[in-house]
Amino acid sequence: MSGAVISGVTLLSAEAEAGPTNFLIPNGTFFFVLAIFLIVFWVIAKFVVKPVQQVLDERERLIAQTAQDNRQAAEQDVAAESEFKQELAAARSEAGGLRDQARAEGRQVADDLRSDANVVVADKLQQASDALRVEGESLAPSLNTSVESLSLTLANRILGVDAESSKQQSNGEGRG
Amino acid sequence: MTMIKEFSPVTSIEVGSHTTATWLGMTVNTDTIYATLVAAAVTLLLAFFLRAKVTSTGVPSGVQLFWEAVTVQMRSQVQASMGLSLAPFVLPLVVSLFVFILVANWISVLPLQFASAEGGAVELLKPPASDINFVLALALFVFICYHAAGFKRSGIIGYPIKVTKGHVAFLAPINLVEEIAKPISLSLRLFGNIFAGVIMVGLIAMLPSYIMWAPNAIWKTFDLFVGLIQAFIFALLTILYFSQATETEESHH
Repeated sequence: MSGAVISGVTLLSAEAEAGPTNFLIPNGTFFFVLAIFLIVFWVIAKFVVKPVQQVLDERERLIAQTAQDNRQAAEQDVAAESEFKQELAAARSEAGGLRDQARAEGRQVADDLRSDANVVVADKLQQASDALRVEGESLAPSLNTSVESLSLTLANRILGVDAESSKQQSNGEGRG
Repeated sequence: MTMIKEFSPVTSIEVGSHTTATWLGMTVNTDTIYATLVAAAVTLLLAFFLRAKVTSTGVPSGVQLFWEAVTVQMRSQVQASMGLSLAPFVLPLVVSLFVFILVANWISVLPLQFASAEGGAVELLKPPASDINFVLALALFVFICYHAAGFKRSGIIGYPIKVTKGHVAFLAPINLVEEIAKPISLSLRLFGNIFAGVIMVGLIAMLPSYIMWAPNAIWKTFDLFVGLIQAFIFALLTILYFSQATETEESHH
């Protein structure tokens, strides 16, 4: 009875000691594998995931910054263009104003010159007519004195008579 | 006699056999630890390569694009289910889980087989996830982490009550079973898939060598896909468990 129990126990222990009995029962390999994995885990956490996450964050930041820069540049472009247009419009209106002003000034100058010229012309005409009148007046008495003799001479030549005598006659007849 | 044995075709499959040693008084599967170290070395190499060449303004290297793609994908998953601020270590945890499991699973695609003395096909580098220790270590670590996050969020008394009660009080036993089932299903899902892959390779190795290459190529291609999907599911479920552990009554929507 007791011998059977003992033999059963020895059989069990012999089975347990026999090494490759049941490969589904874990043995000391467990701890070595766990230790190896913990090393791998530590290295990957420290040297892989951390830097990779930093790289991903950095890249995301760069992308966001580039997008922001692009948006800013586009905004600046639009602003510059509108400013350019505004400046252009202002310059155009200023140029128009200047042109109008120049035209008005030119007209003014021309008018001034024309009126000056008119004054000069009137002056000159006046002077000329005055000079003519003075000359005429100065010539008139001398001419008046010669009118009689000249007309007599003319009449004599036309009539072929001596107008001097007929004059005296006519004078007598007239008186008579 | 030995010559005949060496040239005889593979006629048996060894399931779940490991080369063992005793380290620190514990029995360890040295082949699993060896393959795990290789996977860890590849992962760490990729990590240190990134550390050396990481850039935010220059042209990122292929390694950086890989890490970025994984991080972005996992970050969007974490953000969608729980938000990044609740447990900031979830993101590095799932990224490490995903990449580590992926590399560990893809180890099995290397065509490094030899025939053992007993006539079975043995992989030089077995995928570590075909060892229960590997998947349990990861799943229990995740289990402890998300419960810790839950305690931190809901309080030392409030969290157990929340977990037990769930949404409806009378389903408490089922909630408890579900809570226990989580790490088991998480670990055994990965284990089962990768273990099945190893058995498939063993089966295919029994075929005659003039045809063996075809199903081997097809299976290993599919195994790449399985390895990727399982790594992704492990990471995704980790996020899901974290979000379940850290949600509160008010945050239901």
